[in-house]
Amino acid sequence: MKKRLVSLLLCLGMVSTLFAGCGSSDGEKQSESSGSTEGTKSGGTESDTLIIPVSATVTSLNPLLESMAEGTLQLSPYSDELYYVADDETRYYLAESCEVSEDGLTYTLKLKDNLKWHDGEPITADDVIFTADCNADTDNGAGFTNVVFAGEEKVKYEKVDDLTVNFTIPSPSASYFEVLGKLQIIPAHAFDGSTDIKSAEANLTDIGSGPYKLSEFNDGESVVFEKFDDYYGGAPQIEKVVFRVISDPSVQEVAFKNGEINYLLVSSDATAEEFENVDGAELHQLAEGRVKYLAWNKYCATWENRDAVKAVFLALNQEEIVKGAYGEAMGLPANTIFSSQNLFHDDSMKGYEQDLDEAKKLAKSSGLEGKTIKLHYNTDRGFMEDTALMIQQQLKEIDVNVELEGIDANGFFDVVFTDQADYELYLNEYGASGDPDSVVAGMYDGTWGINVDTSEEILELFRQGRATNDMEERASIYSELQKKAQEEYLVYPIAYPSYCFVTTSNLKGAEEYTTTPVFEDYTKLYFE
Amino acid sequence: MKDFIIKRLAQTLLVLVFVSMFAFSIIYFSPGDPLYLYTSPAVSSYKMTEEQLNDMREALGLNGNVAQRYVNWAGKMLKGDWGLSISNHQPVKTQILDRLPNTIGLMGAALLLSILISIPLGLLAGYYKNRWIDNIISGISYLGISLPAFWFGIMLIIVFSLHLSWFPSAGMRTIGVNSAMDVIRHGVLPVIVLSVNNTAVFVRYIRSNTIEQKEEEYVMTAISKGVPKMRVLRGHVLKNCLLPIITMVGMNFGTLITGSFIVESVFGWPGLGTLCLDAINSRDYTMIMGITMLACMVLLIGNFLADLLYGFADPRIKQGREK
Repeated sequence: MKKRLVSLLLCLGMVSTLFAGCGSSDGEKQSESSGSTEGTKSGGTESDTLIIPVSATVTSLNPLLESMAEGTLQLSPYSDELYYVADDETRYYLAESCEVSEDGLTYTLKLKDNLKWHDGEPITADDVIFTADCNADTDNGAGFTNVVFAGEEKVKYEKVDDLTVNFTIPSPSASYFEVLGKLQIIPAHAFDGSTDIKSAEANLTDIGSGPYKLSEFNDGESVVFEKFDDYYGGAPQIEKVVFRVISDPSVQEVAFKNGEINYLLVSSDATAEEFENVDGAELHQLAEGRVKYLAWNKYCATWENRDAVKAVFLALNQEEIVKGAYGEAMGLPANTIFSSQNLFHDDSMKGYEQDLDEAKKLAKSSGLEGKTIKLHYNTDRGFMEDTALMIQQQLKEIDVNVELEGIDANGFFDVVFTDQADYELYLNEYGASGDPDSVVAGMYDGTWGINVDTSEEILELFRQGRATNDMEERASIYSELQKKAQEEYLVYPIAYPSYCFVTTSNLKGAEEYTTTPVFEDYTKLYFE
Repeated sequence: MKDFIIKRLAQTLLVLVFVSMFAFSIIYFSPGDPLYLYTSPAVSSYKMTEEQLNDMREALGLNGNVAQRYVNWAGKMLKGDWGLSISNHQPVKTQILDRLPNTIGLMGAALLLSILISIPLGLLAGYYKNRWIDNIISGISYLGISLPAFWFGIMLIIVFSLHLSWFPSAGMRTIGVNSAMDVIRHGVLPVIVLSVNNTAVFVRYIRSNTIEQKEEEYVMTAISKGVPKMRVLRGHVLKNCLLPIITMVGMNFGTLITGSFIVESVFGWPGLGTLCLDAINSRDYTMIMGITMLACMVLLIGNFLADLLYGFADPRIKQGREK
């Protein structure tokens, strides 16, 4: 009996030891505030820590190397941009001002005085120059390369004084003001001036400029930021911001209901509905600034007769697709190739309207009737599969059979941003906020969507829109461009997705700004 | 014995080479480009020129055909250089070794728990074949085999975390707390999920072996001589059931590395599973290959050790080998 008891105890000991190996050996608490770090039951009590779930921790704390959505989300409290261009104003963060010369070629960027890195060193023009150099070294794959290259030509930049840098672009580009504003800078001293930043150790140290500085980086588990008292905009009101890894959306929901996190990104209409009237939770809906669209592949022989394209566009019922695939909370019908978050979006236009009789006639006359066509969609993007299924159903009405093929994000662009001719349609999306002379233009001018059949007339309108800084003139150019794109059946804009999230109701200030991913300015957030 | 070990080691090396070639080819021929991370419009509105992309490929070792790239990778591996991750440029070996204890801890605990539970249950079910106790144990083990891990995990989270608040819903540690007890608390639910399936499979094996052994003459003799049932089970049947248990544990050694991908993802456990899933999504071939080779080596070592242990568990096998 005694022997058996000893064996049992030994076994239990082994199980515990295996687990203990996962943790640290010191067995002491690192922080006194652990009680409050696990959050509260749906906004019940006060807390000093904002906890946001993420699917993975960032692999680097360098904003130049983490410019995808989840990287931007996690580094937002930690690293500031120069300024943000909104519809009606420019909000300056690290920059004091940015003046554009009369010829539209030189941008004089002036930093605020007394800015500090998290290590206490001053932020100067040298850091801006160093950051630009790092972006110019294309082997880094840095996210702000568009600041130092205009097409294949290089942008010139030079230090004027300790706080001022001049950027000179080769030809006028109306979107450059916005592009430059988004730049996040890194400290030259942390990298010893070396622009080969890819595998620098400094990438995992505190190189931030934002309202929160690094407290703990637990790879694969969490990133903990604490407030930076020397922040130029004043110390933030919430003590800590934590990004905690909970990769499964269902588990995130449970953790939110359990009070373990304060924020939940909503990915379905049903979840939005569930949280709409829950005590202790507050639902926020923002336009995400993206366009989800259906494109036809100009290299595919099926579309030699343009009436076949028209037949497809007229056969689709956009309202039904958006309602069925997105639901009321998660998207709105798109009316042009610009999103509602783009400057110069024409909200007076109407999207494509269904006309089944005409669609049937065109399908027959163009030879599309009775054919089987292939549609690719990106399986990693929300609502794509449902949208594809609805398109498949609707095109049956004109006797067109659609074969669906989902591809993950990585493989998807290898197929659709090429001149392959063996598929007819694809569903895709692009970022469309702020100036349209950025990603939107790139989707149609041959930079990205090379299989989109953009006419010379539309390309010329994009060029004209880029070349002038006169806002009225640009509004007129882009209005004409949006109409022209619709007349030419360029692509079928389906939906403007919503960026929907829930916060515990004791978190205030979340509605202050409507930029995505959240939150543009963490100093505005506080717990009630 | 010496010849046997040399022969098995040679086989192990051969299998390693074939697995590495096979895995490398699959990654090479799968659609997608590792440079997507740097060239997607989601990263920057600037599109790199072909020349810039080629320079980057060169720097990352992505130029050349499959054979050239494999030789290049294998040559470095032989020197102990596992390469740099394509997605974050940090050394693959360091990242794997950082996460390895978390996965081994989780899977090791689950494996140990499975063995501890399945041996008595399997013996009982086998000994009392077709009786109520066997029916209950067999029913539960069928259920255990059929339960999808992700569903069961979420159910446990809803019950024990949301409703009863006994355990945290996800993660490995409470932020700010660094104690072994806290890690154990976080590990309870994932270990239960991981061990359920293993336990069910082990119980089935042990049950069928027990039934076989029970029919053997030595068991009949022991029972007819009045030896208590429990002593017969423990002292005679169990010893002879050790062989399949050793085989199963040997086969399951590989799962110490790869068995918890889904469960780690559901419970946000920072182990190799989540690291590998991220690597697969970003076509980070150096990381995928690093984890694959490690899993393969552990599996082969497990099988090798199982072979050696056979000899100790059953001297007849040892004698057979020596002959």
